[in-house]
Amino acid sequence: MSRKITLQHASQSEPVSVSIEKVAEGSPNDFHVVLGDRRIDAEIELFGSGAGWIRLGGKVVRFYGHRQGDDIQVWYGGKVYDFKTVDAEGPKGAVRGAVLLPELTAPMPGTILRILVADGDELSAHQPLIIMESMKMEMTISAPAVGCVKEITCSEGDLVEMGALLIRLEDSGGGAGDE
Amino acid sequence: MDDELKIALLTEQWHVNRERGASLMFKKVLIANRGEVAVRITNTLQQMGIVAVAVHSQPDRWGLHVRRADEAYALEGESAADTYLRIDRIIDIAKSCGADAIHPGYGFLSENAEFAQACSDAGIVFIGPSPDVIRKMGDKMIAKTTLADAGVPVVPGYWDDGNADVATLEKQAERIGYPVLIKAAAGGGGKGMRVARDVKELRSGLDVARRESVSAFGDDRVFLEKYVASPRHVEFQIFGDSTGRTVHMFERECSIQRRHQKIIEESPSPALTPELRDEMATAAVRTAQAIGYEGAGTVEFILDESGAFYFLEVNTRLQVEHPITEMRLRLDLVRLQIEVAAGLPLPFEQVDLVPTGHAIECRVYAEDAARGFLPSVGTIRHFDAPVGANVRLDSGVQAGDEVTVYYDPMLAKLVVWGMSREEALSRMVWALRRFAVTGVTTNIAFMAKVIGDPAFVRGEYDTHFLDSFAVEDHESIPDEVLVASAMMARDAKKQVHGSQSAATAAASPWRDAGGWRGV
Repeated sequence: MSRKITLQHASQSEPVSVSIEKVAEGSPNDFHVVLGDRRIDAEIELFGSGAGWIRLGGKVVRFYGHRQGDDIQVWYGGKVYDFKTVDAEGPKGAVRGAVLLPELTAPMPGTILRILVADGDELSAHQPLIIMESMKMEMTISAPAVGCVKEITCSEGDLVEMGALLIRLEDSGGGAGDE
Repeated sequence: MDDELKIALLTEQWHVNRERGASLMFKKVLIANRGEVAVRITNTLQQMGIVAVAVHSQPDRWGLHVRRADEAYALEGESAADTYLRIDRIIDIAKSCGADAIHPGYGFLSENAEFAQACSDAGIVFIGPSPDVIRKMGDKMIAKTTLADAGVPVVPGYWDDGNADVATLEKQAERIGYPVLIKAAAGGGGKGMRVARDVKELRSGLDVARRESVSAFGDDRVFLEKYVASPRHVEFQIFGDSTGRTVHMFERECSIQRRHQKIIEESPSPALTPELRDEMATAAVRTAQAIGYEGAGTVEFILDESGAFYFLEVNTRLQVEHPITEMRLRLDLVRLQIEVAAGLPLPFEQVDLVPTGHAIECRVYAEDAARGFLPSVGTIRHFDAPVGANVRLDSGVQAGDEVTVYYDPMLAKLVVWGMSREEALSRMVWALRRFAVTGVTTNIAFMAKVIGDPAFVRGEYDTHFLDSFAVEDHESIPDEVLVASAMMARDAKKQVHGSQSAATAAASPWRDAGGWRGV
């Protein structure tokens, strides 16, 4: 029984649909794999948690992988590949380019060192907004595009979690988002 | 006294001390550090038959350095300031557990003169130089003055007054000539350092450098140096003992840096001729003698395109990249540090130190090279490194360990040795390509790309090499990866999600990278 899964690679635009099924109940290592419109046979031997060997086209290679929710990470040949599993129709609302985000969040847990703007400030693209410290590094959060500060939701000295809302932005005077 | 007699006396003294060494040697040593360096020191202590004591913060309570130690004690708290920087608590633990000595590792309290003094006041040996030497060399302004007086070449600049007003500094910057480098007197590791190309950048740079310096070191003094446009960072390992013997252990080339922090080091340096190496080694030994250095230290130089070199600073501790020196000389520098601290003389002379082959170190960081080296946190799922003959891994983590936001995200150091540079480079690329880490993003694939870069292979690089190094590669995804992913997804519950993450990534402020810097 095979099921179709769509994998979206973190830096590639086109998702790939894959499905995998055992060739026969008696041979646990032999699989039919469908990659997009191609069908290939692979021998897979798992050893331990999320690590194994794949024999493909006569070549045996080692891989490491793990899954957490929708995220799949695979190490192969010295590189790590990150995927999201998505539904068969592919991602909704495709990537829209540099659209002004209404909200900026903390990319890492850390401390707010300085806030360089105030409510209502007009912003130019890439203007520094907030300086944070995380893992002994200072980092600057900048405006993604032209806009205006709607609301600042943190204060200097705050300890914030990853993903915490820091600042709300809005278009300046109803202007366009993508500069 | 002629040299031969002196050597004979020293040798005899050495044998006597070796015998006495058994009774002089420490029984128990506390390691005031965490991560890979704490594990590294533990290994040597245990090989020497000395009990290794770990201290740990709350997030590190199950860390590898704790698991490897013979005894471990908690430092209540999470931040470095509440734990690994608490002199009073560490001394209390050392006293109550009966430690004879404290090894500070690198970072944290390793170059803190008050800590060295507090150890000595408590009757505990600090494994490192004297508080006085640490204080003098920790203050970059005093260090420059001292060594300029000793005849060691220093970068031209202004270091008379660390609290000079803006007007004075503007005048001095004019005299030195732009671009100038603003540096924190108490600084190190790129913290509190800024380049100023004109007077406007000088004013804003002074503000930032002072702020970073206050936050990192509690000291706002800064000084100016002529900015060397295309510098290489070449340092010499030095070692001194209580008999006054001082040796150098050759150089380490550390020019591959991001955010002013080294990530790849090699020895020998591809930039040194034998004559230049001798000249720099002589300056390094002169530096060590000028300050009466005891224990392991490093004299850092910058080397410009013309082959002129200038003293940068002395690091009064074990250096992160010490393993490349160990690989070439087949020595254990931590063991030597412990023996010297116990009062034993160095068991060799300069002529005995003959390095062989080529060694390279890659620092494995939990960070994303494609996103401005943004640190990555999470649980390490797999951590499988190729180790064996001539491939060494000094690691602070294993699979299952957490990488937290509290400390520096360096996970491990991969070190290789080869008969030639060529052999060492190809072995390193092989080792990096075999080093599997999942769960957190690492810089392993990025470093393999750097080592394979034609300019790097030719040895043509300076400290700006990574500034313009292309990180992105849009290669197609191998079938093997898709098959493995399908295998991983096989039992996944089908869940429907929009493209929130993709949209966020596209417009993320982190796309503007370059916002990162050390503090």
